Amino acid sequence: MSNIINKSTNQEEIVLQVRKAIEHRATWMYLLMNEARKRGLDWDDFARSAIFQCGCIHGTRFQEDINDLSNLEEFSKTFVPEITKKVFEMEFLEVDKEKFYVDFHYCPLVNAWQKLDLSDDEIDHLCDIGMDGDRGIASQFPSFKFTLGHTIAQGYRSCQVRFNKIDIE
Amino acid sequence: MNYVNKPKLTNKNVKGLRDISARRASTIALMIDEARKRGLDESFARNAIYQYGKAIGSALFARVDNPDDMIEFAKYFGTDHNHDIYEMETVTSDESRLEIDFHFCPYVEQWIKMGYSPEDIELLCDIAMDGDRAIGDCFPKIEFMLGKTIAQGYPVCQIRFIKTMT
Repeated sequence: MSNIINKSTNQEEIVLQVRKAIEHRATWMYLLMNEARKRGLDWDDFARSAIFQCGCIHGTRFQEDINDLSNLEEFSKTFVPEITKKVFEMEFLEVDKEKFYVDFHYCPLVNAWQKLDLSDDEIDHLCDIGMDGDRGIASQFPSFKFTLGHTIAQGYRSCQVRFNKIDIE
Repeated sequence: MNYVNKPKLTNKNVKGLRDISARRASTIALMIDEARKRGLDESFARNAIYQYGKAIGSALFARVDNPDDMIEFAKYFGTDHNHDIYEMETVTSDESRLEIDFHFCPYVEQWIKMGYSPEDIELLCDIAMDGDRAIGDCFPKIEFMLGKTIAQGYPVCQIRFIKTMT
């Protein structure tokens, strides 16, 4: 019996299409990792490394669209395009130059992993590895610190994604 | 290699969907890279993508009234959001063949950006196509054939499903 609560409310056609595309990626991610694990690889080693690098690539691309790389308000607009906000049913709690606090109320990746009948523990593990993509994005912005609070994959009703500006020399 | 891979459809929705395709492309490429560093060849990825295609193909097989009917198969294959992402053109659709040309590939675009060699890109493409091979394998009387591809430097990917006589 799963304790994960992951119900969507937004059912716009384009939102459903984007969720389907994200589910495709989440399913590939699991199947690739599962096949690699069958052959002796450790998820926390090879998969974290791959997903973190994915994040770095996309973080580097984000930099091209941002004028002030230390401004979290500007970062938030690139990190969360309008469609992404709808897809993950995001609630912006605080957005200014110093802080970007957002809660995700729905996760299409978790939905994809649930369809594969994975255990809650496995989904939690996959989620944290998936979040290495966000850690990778954040790593391209030395002025920001990324913090992950509780998550839908852990059985909470939302994922708490937090970025804070930090002082750098 | 001079790739011919320029999108014609560029609306906001299709761009958003292609961005996710690009992330999928970087995920598979980097997972294969990281696995190789640890001594695995790409067969793990082929198995994974084939399983993905099997799941799609099995669901499609269960959905159609007659799994031997190419016309019915054509109603479902390539008619979802992927149609615009890959700029699909149905070249032939009749009782014996479904021939679809893809005029754009977001995977190839991403792998080029990541700096992969033409040989790597062709291999990555062929691994991703194992998903389509698996879909074909779910239908006993339909055979998947891959013609030219964008990854090989051609302006289209020729996706072909042929009705077998056996």
